[in-house]
Amino acid sequence: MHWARRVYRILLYAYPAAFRRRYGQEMEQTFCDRYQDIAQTAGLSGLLRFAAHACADWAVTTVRERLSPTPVPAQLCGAAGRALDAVPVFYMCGDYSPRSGALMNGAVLSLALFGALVVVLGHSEGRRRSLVGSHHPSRSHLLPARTAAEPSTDLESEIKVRAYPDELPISPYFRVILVLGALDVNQDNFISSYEISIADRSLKPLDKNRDGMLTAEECGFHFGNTKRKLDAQFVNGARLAFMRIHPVLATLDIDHDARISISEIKRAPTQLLILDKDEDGALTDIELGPEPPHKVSK
Amino acid sequence: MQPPKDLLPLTPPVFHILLALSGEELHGYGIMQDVARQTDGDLQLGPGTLYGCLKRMLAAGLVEESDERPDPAMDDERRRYYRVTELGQRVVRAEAQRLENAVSVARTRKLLGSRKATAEGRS
Repeated sequence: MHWARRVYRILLYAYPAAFRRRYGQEMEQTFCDRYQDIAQTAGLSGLLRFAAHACADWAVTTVRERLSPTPVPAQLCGAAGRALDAVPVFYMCGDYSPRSGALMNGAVLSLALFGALVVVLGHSEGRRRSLVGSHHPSRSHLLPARTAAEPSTDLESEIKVRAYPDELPISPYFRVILVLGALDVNQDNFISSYEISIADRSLKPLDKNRDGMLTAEECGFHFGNTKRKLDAQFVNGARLAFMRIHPVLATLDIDHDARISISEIKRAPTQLLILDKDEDGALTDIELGPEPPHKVSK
Repeated sequence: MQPPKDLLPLTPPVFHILLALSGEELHGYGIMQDVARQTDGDLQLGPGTLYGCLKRMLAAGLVEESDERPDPAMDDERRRYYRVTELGQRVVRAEAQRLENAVSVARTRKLLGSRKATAEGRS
């Protein structure tokens, strides 16, 4: 009882100060009388219904009292609009309170709608983004409209928006060497200390055949779409060369068998630090790129 | 004095509060209980609705505060008793008459049964 009274006393602060000073104590007393009555006669279910009804009453009447702080005799009657001289008045300015059941339905529907919206937004990642604008050739179309009619006038102004200004183009080298693409999680052409620390986890998605190791093909090696049957020895040689030429692959493939095994994947975070020539904890494209061919002395 | 018809039609809470006070002086919770009895529990006034109505009714001169304490056992300094004024009596009478006319029209158009049938239906 004490806590209910305390809560209701706090809720009374939502009413205008003058109204609260004049009727606050009476309202509190009335609330407590009703609470005690229901607690004795109707039990917990009755108290819950009473709480819902009291909340609905509070929500409606606080707004009403704030909207009409000055007592107007004409507000006694249902024709509230008449007193305000044709100014539209919402129904809640009357003395009716909506049924608590109706408020509960509204609350449940609102929560369901909010939940659905959250789910939709949460699962819309990767799908086509909604655009505000038009793909129509006319510059005056702000929203897509299917019509055969020619616009009578066209806007002179044109707004140009640069696409994704914060995103850098992915380096071609990072595209070709799939291992680099996987290590560079945020695609900034730079492997940070954090990306190095999670290298073992980043490499696992490359294992398409789920055999626990990365073959040269899974690291980015390929011969193109040639239909000609190639000599197996030649291909193996090419694989080995591919894995040795690129520093990152050569570093990860410790035993140089043209495959990055499970144990080598696990050791990737420490192995990658070998490439960190400037010891800043991160790997730049200079550190990751193949060394330029030595100048041939004339 | 303001003509009663200027204040019609009354909203159900105001009408039932006036009905409750036309019998005796009551405090807030007494009004609330009486209104619930009148309407078989269909109209449950919350404290906000009740005192919002009372505020406007006091301003309109339909009710007034009473200094007397008809129920000394329940007396409390926070409790205030209200009674209907002469204007309030006239207004509630006019509203009751208006509702009776409306009910008569409904009976004429056979939307309601006869008084006897209605009474039997209730019993």
